[in-house]
Amino acid sequence: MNIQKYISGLKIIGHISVVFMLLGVLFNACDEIDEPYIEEDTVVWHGRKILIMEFTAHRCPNCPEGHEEIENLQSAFPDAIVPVAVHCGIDAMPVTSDTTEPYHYDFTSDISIELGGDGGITSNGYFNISSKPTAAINEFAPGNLFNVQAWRSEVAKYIQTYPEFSIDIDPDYSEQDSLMSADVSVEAVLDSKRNLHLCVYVVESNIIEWQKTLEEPDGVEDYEHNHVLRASMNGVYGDVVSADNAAITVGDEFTNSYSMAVDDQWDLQNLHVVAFVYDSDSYEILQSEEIPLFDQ
Amino acid sequence: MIKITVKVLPLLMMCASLQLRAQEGRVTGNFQGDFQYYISDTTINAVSPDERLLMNSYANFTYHKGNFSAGLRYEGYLNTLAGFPGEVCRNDGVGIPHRWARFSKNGLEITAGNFYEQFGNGLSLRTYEEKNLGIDNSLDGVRVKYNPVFGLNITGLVGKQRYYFDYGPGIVRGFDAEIGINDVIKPLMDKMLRIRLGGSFVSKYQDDNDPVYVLPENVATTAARLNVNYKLFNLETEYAYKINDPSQDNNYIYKPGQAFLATSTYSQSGLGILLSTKWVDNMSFRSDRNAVLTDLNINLLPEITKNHVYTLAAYYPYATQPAGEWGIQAEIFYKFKRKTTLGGTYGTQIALNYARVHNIDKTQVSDTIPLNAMGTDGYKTQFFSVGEELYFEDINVEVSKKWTKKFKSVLTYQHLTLDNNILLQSEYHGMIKAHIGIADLTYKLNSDYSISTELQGMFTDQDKGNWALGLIEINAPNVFFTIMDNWNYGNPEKDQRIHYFTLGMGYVKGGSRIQLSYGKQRQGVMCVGGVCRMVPASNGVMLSMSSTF
Amino acid sequence: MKHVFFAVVLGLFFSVNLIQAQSFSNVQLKTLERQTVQSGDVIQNDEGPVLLCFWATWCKPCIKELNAYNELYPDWEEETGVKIILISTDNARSMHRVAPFVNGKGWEFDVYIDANSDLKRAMNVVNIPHTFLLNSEGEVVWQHTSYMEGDEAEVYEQIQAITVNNE
Repeated sequence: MNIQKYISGLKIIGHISVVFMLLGVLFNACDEIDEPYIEEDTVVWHGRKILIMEFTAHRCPNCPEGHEEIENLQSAFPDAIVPVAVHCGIDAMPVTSDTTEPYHYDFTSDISIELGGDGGITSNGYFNISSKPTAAINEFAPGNLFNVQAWRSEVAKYIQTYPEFSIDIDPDYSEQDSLMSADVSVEAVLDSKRNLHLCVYVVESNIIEWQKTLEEPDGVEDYEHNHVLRASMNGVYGDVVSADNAAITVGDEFTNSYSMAVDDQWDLQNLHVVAFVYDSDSYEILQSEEIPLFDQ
Repeated sequence: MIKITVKVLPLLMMCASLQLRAQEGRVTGNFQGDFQYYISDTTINAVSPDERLLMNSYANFTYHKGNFSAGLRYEGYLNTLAGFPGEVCRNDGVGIPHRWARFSKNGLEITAGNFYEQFGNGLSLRTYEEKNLGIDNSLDGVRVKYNPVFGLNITGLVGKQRYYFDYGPGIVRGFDAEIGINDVIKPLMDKMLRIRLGGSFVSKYQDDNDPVYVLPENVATTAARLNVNYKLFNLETEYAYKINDPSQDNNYIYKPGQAFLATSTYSQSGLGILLSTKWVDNMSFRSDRNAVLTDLNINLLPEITKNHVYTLAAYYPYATQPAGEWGIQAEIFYKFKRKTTLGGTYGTQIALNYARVHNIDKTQVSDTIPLNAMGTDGYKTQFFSVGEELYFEDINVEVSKKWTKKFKSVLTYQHLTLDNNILLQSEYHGMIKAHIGIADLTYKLNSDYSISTELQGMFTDQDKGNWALGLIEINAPNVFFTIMDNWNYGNPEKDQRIHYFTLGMGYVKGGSRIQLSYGKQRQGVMCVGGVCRMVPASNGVMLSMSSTF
Repeated sequence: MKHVFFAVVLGLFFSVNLIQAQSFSNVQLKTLERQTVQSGDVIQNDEGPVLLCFWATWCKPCIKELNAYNELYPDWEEETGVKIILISTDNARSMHRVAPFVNGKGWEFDVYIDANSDLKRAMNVVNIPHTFLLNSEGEVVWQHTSYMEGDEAEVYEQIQAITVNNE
C-alpha cells in the first residue's frame, strides 16, 4: 500500500523534471552577449584626451593643411582633441619689426624654439623638426612625427583606450599683479607603476594675422591662428609628479599650484591652460586637459 | 487604455451591485485617503506647492462569488503628495490602474489583470505595493498557479509592469516551482527532518535600440532555494544568478549578477535565535534597463538589518546596495519567565540585535580598463568576498517589561555606524556614528484611559548633531491625542536648532480610522519594509482616513 | 458615464454596510516552517470563533496588542474556545524573524506568514494592527483597526457576544 503511494510520489518528481526541462529550453532563449559589446563601426570614447603637438609656421604655405586637419579631428571627436601649435623654424620668424607690414607678428616663443628649433641655425629643437607641417601625437618624444595624412589613424589608436588619469585644472587671474595661476590635480583612474611628469602650458587662440597658404602664395591677411603655444608654467618638460616607479593606486591625487606673469601682448580672453601627464620612460602622454582662463 | 477601463469597469461594478442585491455575490473593499495642506516654512526649507492642498487616495472593490472573484482599485492623485515618486507629473491624475479577475478551482488558480507575486525571498521576483512609499510594480498580464497535490506548488506568469498610470517598456515572464519532499514522498512524511526545494526562472524582454552597445534583449534570473527544518531548527537559503544585464544601475556593464541569502533560526518557547547572512553582486533587476529610484524593480533584495520603529532609531536606516554588499545579522530574543528574579511578576522580554554590512571585493577586469567601466565586464569578484569598507553597523538591545498591572516600559539602546558616502541619507560626507537611547513608558489610568510617553535621544558628533524627541499619547475609548516635539538641539549651526512640533488626534471605530495632525515634518528617509524614499521637509495639516468594509 | 460610475460607487458604499458577514478569498500563506498552505484550510476553529490578527515584527502597537492578548489568552480560550491566529505581514526582510520573535516573546498563538500581503489585500486591510473576529462559520462579525491600551476588553466582549449567541 505504501509502495503505491511511493510510486505516485515518483510520478510527481517526473512531472517536475519535465517542468525543469521546459525551464532549460526557456533559459536557452536568453541573450548572453559575448565581447565585443560595442556595435560594429562605432567609436566609444572613454574620456582619454589626445594631445596633438603640431609644428607649424606662418610663412609655411603647407601648414594650413595641418590646421584644417586639426579642425576635422576636433569635429569628429568632440572634446577628445587637445591641440598645441608650436611655431618654429626659420619660416616662423617675423620678417620685419614694422607692425604695418605682413609677417611682423612673432608667434614663436622660448618654448616653441626649444621644442621645434629655429630651422637648424642653432638647432632643430627637442623634436628635431626638419619639415612642416608635422605633429607628435600623444607622445612627448622626438622621433615619432607624423605627417598630416597619418594623424587620424594615429588618433584612432588612442581614442578608445581608457585614460589612466583624470586632470582637473582650476585657473585664475589676478589683475592686480597680472599673474595667472592654475591649480592642477591629477587623479589616478587606474592602478599603475610609473615615473610621471606633468606639463602645464599656456596657449592662445583667435589671433588674426597673416598666413601663407598654397592658394595665396603671398598669404591671407585675416587668417585665424589657434592654439598657439605661448609659455609653460612649469618648464618645457614639466615637473615630476611621481618617481621611482612608485605604485599609483586608483584614487591617488597629485595637486600642484602654478602661477606666472602674463605677457601684455596676449589677449587674456583667448588664453587657455593645457595640462598633460606623460610617462618619462616611454614618453607616452597618458592624459591631457584644456580649459580657458576665463569661462566662456 | 486607462480611458477604456474607466468606461468598462463601472458596468462591471453595476453587474456586481445587481448581483449584490440578489444576495449572491459579495463585495468587499477599502478606502484610504491622505490629504495634506502645505504651509511654507523657510526655517526648514518647506515649500508650499502651487495647489496648496494635495491628495493621494485609493479605493479597492472586490467582488466574490463562488470560485470567481474580481477587483479593481481606483487611485486618485490630485496632485501627488510631496516627496512621492512620480510626483513630477507622471503620477498626477485619477484612474483605475489596477483591475483583475480570478478563477480558482481544484488547486488551479487563474488570474487575468494586475497581480502581485513573490518567488521565494524575492531575489528573482517580487511585485508588491507599498502605498506609503508610492511603490506599485504590479504585473498586468496572466498568472496561473497550480497546486496538484499538497506540497507541490507551481506558478507561471507573463505580464507588463505597471509604471504609475502607464506600463514599463519591458515584458516579464516568470516560472516558479516549490516542492515539499516530505509531502510528496509518503515514506518521509513523518520524519522530523523536513526538506523543501524551490526554483524560479524570471526573464524580461526589452528592445535594444542602442546605437553603440549590443544589449541583451532577453535577460533572465534563475534562483534556487532550499529549506531544511529539523525540530526547532530551521535553515533557509536562496541563491540567484542573473545573466548579463547592462543597465543604468550598474553603469551598463556586462557582468552577470548574483545574490545569496541564508538564514537559520532556532526557537523554543521563551527563546529565539536568528543568524543570517547575505551577499549581493550586481543584482538589480528591472524591467526597464534605464529605470532609476524605485521604478520598475522586478526583484527585491531584502536588507538583513533590523527594521527600527522608533523615530530616532530609524533616523539613519540601511538600504540594500544592489551593486554589491555583504552582510550578517544575529539576533536573540529571550523571555525571563514570570516570577523569576529578572522576570518579575509579568516576565521580561529582551531582544539583542547585531548587524554589519561591508562592500564586496572588486578587481579590474584588466590593467587598462578601470573598475566598472561602461560597456565592459565591469569587475571581477570571488563568490562571497568581503571588502574592507564598512557600510553599516548596528548593535541594539531592547528590554520590554511590564512592572505592574498599570505600568510597562520598553527601553532601547542602539549604537550605529554608517558610511554616508554610500548611504546618502543627508548632505553629510563621511562616517556617522551615533548613540541612541529610547524609553517608551505606558501607564494605564483605568480600563478606558491610558497615557504613553516616548523619550528618545540621539547623540552624534557628525551630520546634524544631537536630537531629542518627546512624545505623549493619550488614549481614550475610540480616540487618541498625540503631542510630539522632535528637537535638533545639537545642530552645529545654531539657527538650525529647530523644534519639529506635531499635534495629532484620531478617531477609530471598527475597521475605520481618521487622523488629523498639524506640524512640521523634517526632511529625511522614510522606509517601509526595507524600501526607502526621501521625504521633503514639510509643514502643514495632514488628514488621513481609512476604512475597511 | 462618470455619473453612473459614482452612483455605483456610492450605492456600493451603502449596500455593503448591510452585509454583516464577510469571508475572504483563499490565498496561499506560509507556516513558520515555510510550508505553503491555503488560508481557507488553516483559518478555522471547530471549537468556536477565530480572532485573526494582522501584524508585523516592526509594528509597535501590534506587539503591545499581542502581548496583551497573550496574557489573557489562556482564560479566553477556556471560556469561549476562541483561537487566536496571527498573520504576519513581514516581508522577505523580516519574515525570518517571525518564528524566533514569536517564541522569544513566549506567545502561544498560531502564526502564518503573508510575505507579499496577499491575505492582507484579500481582507482589505489598510493599516496594521487590524483584527477580525470570525464566527465558527468563518464569517467576519467584527473588526477593529489600530490598538490602544485597554482595547482587549472590547475584543473580549465581542468574542463573548458571539459565543453566547451560538449557545
